[in-house]
Amino acid sequence: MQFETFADFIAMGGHGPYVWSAFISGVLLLVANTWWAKARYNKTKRELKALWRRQSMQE
Amino acid sequence: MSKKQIDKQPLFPRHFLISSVLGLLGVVLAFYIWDVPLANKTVILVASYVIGWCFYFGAIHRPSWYWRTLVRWYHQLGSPQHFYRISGWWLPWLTLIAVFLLGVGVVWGLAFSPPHYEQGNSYRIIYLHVPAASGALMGYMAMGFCGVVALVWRLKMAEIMIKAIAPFGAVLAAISLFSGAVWGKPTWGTYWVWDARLTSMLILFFLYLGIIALQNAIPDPRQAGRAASLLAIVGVVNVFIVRYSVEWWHSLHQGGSMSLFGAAKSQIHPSMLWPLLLCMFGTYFLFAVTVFIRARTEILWRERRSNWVRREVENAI
Repeated sequence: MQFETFADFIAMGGHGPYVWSAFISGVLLLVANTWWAKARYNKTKRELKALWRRQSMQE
Repeated sequence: MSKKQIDKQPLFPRHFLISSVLGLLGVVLAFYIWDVPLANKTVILVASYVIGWCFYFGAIHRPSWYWRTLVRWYHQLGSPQHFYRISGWWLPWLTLIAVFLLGVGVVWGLAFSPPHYEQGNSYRIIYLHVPAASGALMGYMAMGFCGVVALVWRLKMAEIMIKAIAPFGAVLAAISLFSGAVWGKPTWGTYWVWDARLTSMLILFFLYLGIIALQNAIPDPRQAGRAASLLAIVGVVNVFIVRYSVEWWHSLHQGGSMSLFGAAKSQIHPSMLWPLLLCMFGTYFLFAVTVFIRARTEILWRERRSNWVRREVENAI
């Protein structure tokens, strides 16, 4: 561990705002992107089911 | 293709061509592109010829087996159903590996690797910046490759892959631009300069956005796929500009200091190199995860009229 205290870790030797803004935005983007892709996949499945249900009701 | 037809394929010219092309590629790589010591060049040269000759002898001695394997691979690679099945099996493992690698790499890089002797702790942005940038570049190269396959062989899967790669590539390019800007402020004293490396990276981001926009603008998926393939191929030029911009022009951005095959060893100390490598491979695995998910979504939608999709979706829950 390179830092004595947790406050030191957050401060990053005065570079805290730069390091943390980069990392937090980056990790959020990565997670949001993956989550969004997965949500889209589930939504497509639901849409397909609804589509087939409508089709079978028309027949 | 029946067994007889496969055996009648003209063998000699095509396989001679493959082995020569591989050998030539090895020569070009070994002697002109990589700055490697002579011993390594010899190894690369010999290896590429051996691979080339394996192709050639495979074709001469076991022609029918050889052709059937090639044909089978071609059909499997091009088959959305096959890809859907295989990717469903791979996805949980890839996700696990990506989360593990990124988790270990980021914690190691942020808390355990030593500070930089000049930049202090601001250099820790490297563990986000470099993986994102290299992922964005590799993603574009993969898209260019898929573009060639889509235009030459008209494989539906290649078009689907381009559509699946573009969004995450754009996200990675955006991350590398933003983290680079934030890193630039304490290190260079400015968030942004119109420098060769920075500008070409911005163009890469716009190319990704262009491909996404193009696919959304054209309603017919096959036509959209063809247009996107063309843009993907043309844009590959920019990848090389990004890669070599720091060598061709006087840039504020530093040159590469990592090398796997270079004559000089990597200029990064192992205590910083290892977390960086973990983050890079974690990003590549996460790339594969999102590409697989997006490709599966696209396959379900495009193939919605076929029976296997219906079975897959109805039986899933």
